[in-house]
Amino acid sequence: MARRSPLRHALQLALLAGCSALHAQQSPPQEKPKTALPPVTVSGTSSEPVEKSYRKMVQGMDYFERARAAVAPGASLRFKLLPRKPGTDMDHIVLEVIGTTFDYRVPIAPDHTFVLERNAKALQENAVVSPNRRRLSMTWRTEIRTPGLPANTRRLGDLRLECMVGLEADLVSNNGPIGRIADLFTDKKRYCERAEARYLYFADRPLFSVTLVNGARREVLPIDQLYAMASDDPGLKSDLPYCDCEVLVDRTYFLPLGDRSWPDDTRVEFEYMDDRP
Amino acid sequence: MNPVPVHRVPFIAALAACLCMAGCAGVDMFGPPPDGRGAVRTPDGRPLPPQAAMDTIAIGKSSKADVLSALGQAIAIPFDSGYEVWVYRWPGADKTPRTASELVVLFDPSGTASKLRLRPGYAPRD
Repeated sequence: MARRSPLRHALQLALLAGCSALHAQQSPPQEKPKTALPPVTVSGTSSEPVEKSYRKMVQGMDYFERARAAVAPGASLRFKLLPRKPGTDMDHIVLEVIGTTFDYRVPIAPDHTFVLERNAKALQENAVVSPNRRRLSMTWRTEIRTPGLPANTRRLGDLRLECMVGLEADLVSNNGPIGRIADLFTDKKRYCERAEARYLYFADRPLFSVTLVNGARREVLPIDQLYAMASDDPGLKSDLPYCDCEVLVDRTYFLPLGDRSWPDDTRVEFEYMDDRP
Repeated sequence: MNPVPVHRVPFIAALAACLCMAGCAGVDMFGPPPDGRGAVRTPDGRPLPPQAAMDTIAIGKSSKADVLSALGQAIAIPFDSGYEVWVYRWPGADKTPRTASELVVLFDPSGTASKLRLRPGYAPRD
């Protein structure tokens, strides 16, 4: 039987979960010494910031506003920063919106989430949203949550919208060659409607189990939907540098986003490794 | 968007082919590892049903060596935290992950089983 090769696995992860290592691989020769440096986090302004397009992120916010009534009517949108490399200092990040004639700081909550305010000048000047961290040291996601849910649960509609807004805001492509190919070959939002979509989610803590619950129907996700498919890839360790899940593998999971037999109100229940039995 | 530099085109073409393959990767790609890991075997080589396999493990007591001895080699997923997940699988009718039964054991950093769960296989999708 044919097996999924580590390379293809890496490419899947790369496209669908925000790999940007290939972008680094494709960097001009003069940038190579920088990418060869050890993966340490630098406090203060970095010469290789992990930055995102303000316009793209606002595009994601616009998409959220258009779609939420149907998918997640009670939810709110935040963006989230996550570590990508070991030792990344996540507690002292300075996040700024930087245009050509201005810059201003964006407050980050203790859980590393933030809200992006709408700013006409930032749009006009095609500003960037820039944390003071080295490229590849962090990754980004959306955080869309309906308030009032029981502990250790999420709502499937919120998570479906996270995929769509995340792709619309370009949080997972890093604008490398992979992202451009994705633009050519896929409709990003339709991708989130695929039953086998491989959009990587990160739970709050290391996972032991994820269960979908809708009324009396309960289904536990198979192990290949957890841990970035590690169960099917003994070579995952060597693939990890290509994945933005590198230091969060034990928190990752996929969802059957396009399986409409699970309505948006489906509860996603998490059992964590450190939960008491 | 800037045009793609010419020297990147062969790379991108190869990547595009890979991505198409990746996009086509369906559930038929799934199967037990070819080396037999994850298929439960008792010391005398007998298969065990899921519940019987689960009953051989005691939370807070069984070590990795105990489980290896009782059930054979698992699909092991180690984490940097020191925790490790072991998985045993019983393929379902259509050999997809959805229909497979799974026994999942969590070992804490000391190597002792700290959690255990049995996932039943579900009916194939239409």
